[in-house]
Order: sequence, then structure tokens, then C-alpha cells
Amino acid sequence: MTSIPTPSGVWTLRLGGISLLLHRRSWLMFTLLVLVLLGLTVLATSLGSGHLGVRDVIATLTGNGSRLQEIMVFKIRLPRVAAAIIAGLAMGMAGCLIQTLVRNRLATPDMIGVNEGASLAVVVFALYLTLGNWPWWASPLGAALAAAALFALCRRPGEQGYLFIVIGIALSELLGALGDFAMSTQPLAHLGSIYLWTMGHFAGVSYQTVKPVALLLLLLCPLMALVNRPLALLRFGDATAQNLGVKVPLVQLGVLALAIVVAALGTAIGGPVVFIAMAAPILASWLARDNLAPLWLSALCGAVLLLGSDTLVRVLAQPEEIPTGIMTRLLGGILLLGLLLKDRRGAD
Amino acid sequence: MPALQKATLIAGGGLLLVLLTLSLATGAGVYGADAVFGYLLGQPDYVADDKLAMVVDTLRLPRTLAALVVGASLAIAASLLQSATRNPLAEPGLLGVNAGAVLGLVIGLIYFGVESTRGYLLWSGAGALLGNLLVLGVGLMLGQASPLKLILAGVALGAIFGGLANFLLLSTRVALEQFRFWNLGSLSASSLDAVGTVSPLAVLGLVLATLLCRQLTLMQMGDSQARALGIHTGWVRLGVLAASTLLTACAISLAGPIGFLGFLAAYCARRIEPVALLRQLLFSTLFGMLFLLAADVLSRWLLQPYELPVGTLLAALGAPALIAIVLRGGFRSLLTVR
Repeated sequence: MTSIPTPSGVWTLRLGGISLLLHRRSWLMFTLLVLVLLGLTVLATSLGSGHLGVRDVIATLTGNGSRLQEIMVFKIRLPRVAAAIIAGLAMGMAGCLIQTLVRNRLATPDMIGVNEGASLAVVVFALYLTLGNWPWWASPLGAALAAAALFALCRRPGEQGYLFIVIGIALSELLGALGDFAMSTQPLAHLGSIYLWTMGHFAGVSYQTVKPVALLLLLLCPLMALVNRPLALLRFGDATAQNLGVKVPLVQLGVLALAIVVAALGTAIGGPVVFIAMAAPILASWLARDNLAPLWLSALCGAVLLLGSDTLVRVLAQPEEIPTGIMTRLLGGILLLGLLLKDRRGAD
Repeated sequence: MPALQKATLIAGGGLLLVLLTLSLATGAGVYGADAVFGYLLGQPDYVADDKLAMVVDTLRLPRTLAALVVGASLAIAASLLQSATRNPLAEPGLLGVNAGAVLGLVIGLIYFGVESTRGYLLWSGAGALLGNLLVLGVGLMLGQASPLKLILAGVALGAIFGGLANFLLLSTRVALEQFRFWNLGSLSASSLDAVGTVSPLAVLGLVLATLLCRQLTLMQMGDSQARALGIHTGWVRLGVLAASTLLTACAISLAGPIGFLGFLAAYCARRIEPVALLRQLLFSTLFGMLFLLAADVLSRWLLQPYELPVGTLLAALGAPALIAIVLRGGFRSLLTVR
């Protein structure tokens, strides 16, 4: 019996009759990103008003801090950091799912109006149908409606390229205008944090919204693992994937629904932080040296990018609070322009 | 002139008169068209009414005139940009030029304490110039084969400018409340003074645009063809840059950023006159004024006693129109000169 040669760049894990191929570079990068994220967490926790050094943070996190330090770290700083990480994970995953499904680097929930739909729903519920708490649960509703409208307009987004994106942009302009109008009926003082939230803001988030969102994301993780493999096959085209045993329409619909829910959950915490969902899979695919962005790597990239932007904006804007989304908008705009110029020879 | 164009001109002119009357006759205050026209024509009964004078001079007349100036400016700027980039989807709002003008104005507001209409014009003009330069540069780099990509480049530029403007505004907290309304695009704050300051410049932009028409029409055949016919394409582009910057600055300093209007007006004009730019400009101006007047009357009337910002209304109407046009692929057939 001849043995099949293992592909290069892969670790083989054998457990009795079962063997698992682990993409070496992806795993190395995964570990690296986790370390970066941990470092950023400590750094972000140590920054802010009131003196708290990196060493104090580490001491407090390992349970050796004073009472005051514990309050500062666990009650004030850490919720914001956790919110940025969870939202970043969700955005990275959602961006990767939709990009792979539509086969277009620019097709991300923030470009095609899904995030705008989510934030419009939250704004409407928060302003007009107040039901007590922060209505984070309204965001999947709005996202699903926006996505339904978009996919009713574009039947074959995989083959439409830039057309799909431009239609998505028009849709997000429309939804954004409606949201602006809803907010313009109220004075700024009355709006409170909603105005900043619609730009993507993480100051003052509490565990109250972070917890349910994180829990739901965790529940969706097995589904994503399930969908990961058939999704990777879809890149060869519908017909080939069908021949390889993928139930194409079912997978497409499932991935889309999953992506929308995940994107909406990402929006629910800190508002629509733009361009993270676009940048994360691009960074992930560059790190993995693979055209297809690995889902988990992309999620981690999203978390690193969002936490990094949040920390950057906190440092730059001291002592004022500036929404994180403004920083990502600035950086993301530059990224988008670079992508377009790089792809200049390609037609529409 | 073909029959369709004649008919459009007559119908458009008639509609413009109707809308002007409506615009003067609706709004806060109980006065109808008869009172307003009586006042404007100098009938002694009406002139004696102080309240009527206040309503007409500070509310309705400036607003109506501003709608005409802003509508015409944005429409002409869009027509020029469409010809220069050979892209039927181009317009100041979609390409990020408006966002550049807003950034300029925000810098003027925060660091130089600008308060006059002249200052607004200057600073928004500087920002619009930057935006136009970048957009035309990116357009040249992308080439003419990608009208959709230029829109995405406009989104990118808009994001960069908008991000910077918001960063400055929120980090200094100067004039945030006013800016928030102004940034939606509205004619409700216009005054006769401001209209008087801006109008001559808008007329200058219009004159410059008409001077460029013949050359731009020929340039639609391609740069090398146009050069063979003796046209200095570089100078023409520079003229387009100047005219569209001036016109965008005029519109922004009167009404704030208003998107989709120029695109809609120029698109409709192109459907009626596909080749000759001078006629296209005529129709574009007419449509721009018509659309903005109609939208402004609607915005006053829809949600009484509240007011819908006219920029929001136009975005809500223009975005579906853009979707429909892009979906039909109608913009591609307009790329070729028939």
C-alpha cells in the first residue's frame, strides 16, 4: 500500500484511524494574533484617566490588585475592552462569510446596508418604541429586512461584481438618511448616547449588552464550523461545488442568514463600526497567504483591528470621547481607495 | 430642436412657475399666494402688513431663491463632472466632493471662527477643490471603463473626509448642534443676504460652464480625437475643475451638502439631449431647479408642523432612483455617443 504524500506546509495529527491536516501557517498566525490581542487588552485596560500601569493591570487580572484597582479594571475598563473584542469577532466573521459567499472583497455588511438597517432598527426602537432597556435585540430585525431588500434586487450577487456593491451603497444611503431624519426630530441633549452610537461608539457599554450578544455568538459558533467547509468549496463555482456534494442553495441561504445575524450582533453592542468587516478578512487572507480568508483567523483579525482602533482613538482624542467608528471610517476609506487603485485594470 | 425637447422645455417652464408659486405660498404663516404676490408687486394693502413683510422677506422668498440657485449649481456641476469623467453616475455628492467641502467648512468653523457667507464660500470652496482634484485624479487613474468603481472611490473619499470632519467636530465640540442639522442639507436657514452674496459666483460658474461646452462635447470622442481637433484637453479639464468647484461651494454654503440632486438632474438631461452639452446644461439646470423646489415644498408640507430636511428627502428619493438606473444598466448605453 502506497502512502499518500502530505501536502507541504501542513501538520498531520493522527488519532488512531482519524487523521487531521492542520494548516501550519494559519495556526502560527492564529497563535500570534491571540498573543497580540492579549497584549492589546492589557494596554487598553491600562490607558485612561486615573493612574493604572501595565504592571498594575496584570497584577489585578491575576487577582493581586487593590480594591480600587479591581473596580477600575473590572467595572470600568474591561467592559469596554470586552465589547470591542466581541464586536470585532462578530464583524470579522460576518465580513468573511459574506465576502466568500458573494466572491467579492468589497461585499461586507457595512458596505451593502446590512449594518445601516440594523442601526436604523435600533434607533427607531430606542427613540419611538421605548421598552425600557437598550433595544440591542432589534438589530437582527433591521439587518434581515435590509438584506432581504438587497437580495430581492440582486438575484445573482456572485456574478454582478461592483454592481452589487453600488446597489448596496445606494441602499445604505437610503437607510442612513432615514436614520438621520429619525434623529433630527430630537434635540441633541435628548438623544444622549444614541447619536454617538450610530457612529460606532464603545464608551460606557456595560456587560448588560455584551453578555447576551457574546452568548448568542457562542451558540452560533458550531453552526459556523459546520458551514465552513462547504463554503470553502463554493469558491470553485456553483456547478463544481454541486458535483463535490455541496447542497448549494441550502448552504448559500444558511451562510447568508448566519452572516446577517452575526453582523447584526456585532452592530448591536457598539453601533455600526464601519470597514472592520472589510479589512479583517483581507488582513486574514494576507496573513494566511491564502486567497480564501480562514474564518477563525478573520474573526481574530476583526477583534484586533477593532480593539486597536478603539485604543488609538482613545489615545488621540484625550480628554474628549470620540466614537471609534470615526477612526475606522478614516482608515477604512484609505484602505478602500487603495484596493480600488490596485484593482485598476479590472473592469466592472 | 426636436419636438421632445421643445415640449420638455415648455412643460418644465410651466411647472417651474407653478412650483415657484407653491413655494412662495406654503410654509409658516397664514398667507396664501394672493397675499405674497400682492406684496411682491407692491400693492399698498399688502405692503402695509408688517407680518406679511417679515414672512416673505425672511422666510419664503430667500428660501425659494436659494432653491433655484442651489438646484442650478448642483445640476451644472454634476453635468460638467459627468462629461469630464465620462461617467454618467458622477455628481458632487456621490463622488465625495460635497464631503470635501464640508471638511473645509468645518476647519474654517473650528480654527478660524468663520461666520459670514463669504467665509463659508471660501472654506467650502477650498474643500471642494481638494475633493475635485482627488476625484478627477482617481478618475484618470481608474480610466473610463469603470463608472461603478468611480462611485466606490467617491465612497472612499467621502469616508476619509467625513471621518476627519467628524473627528475635528467631536474632539472640539464647537458648533456640533448646528452642524448636525446643517449637515443633513436644508434650505430653511437661507437669508436674502446669503443668496445675494452667492448668486454672482453661481452665475460666474454658469458662464464658465457654457464656455467649456463646445470643447467638452468634442472631448466625449476621446482625448486623442479632441487633441487632433485642436482642443487643449488639459486647459478644459482645469476649467471644469474651477467651474465645478465654484458651483459646489455655492451650493454647500447656502444649503449644506445635498446629494443625488445633481445626479438625477444631469441624468434626466442626458436622456433628453445625449450629445450637445450646451443643451444638456440647459435641461440640467431646469431639472435641478425643478427637483429642488419640488423637494423643498414637499419637505415643508409632508410632516407639518415639523420639517423634513430637504437633503434627507432627496437621499430617500434619489437612492431608489440610483438603484433602478444601475440595475437597468441604463448608464452603460449613455457612455457611447450616438
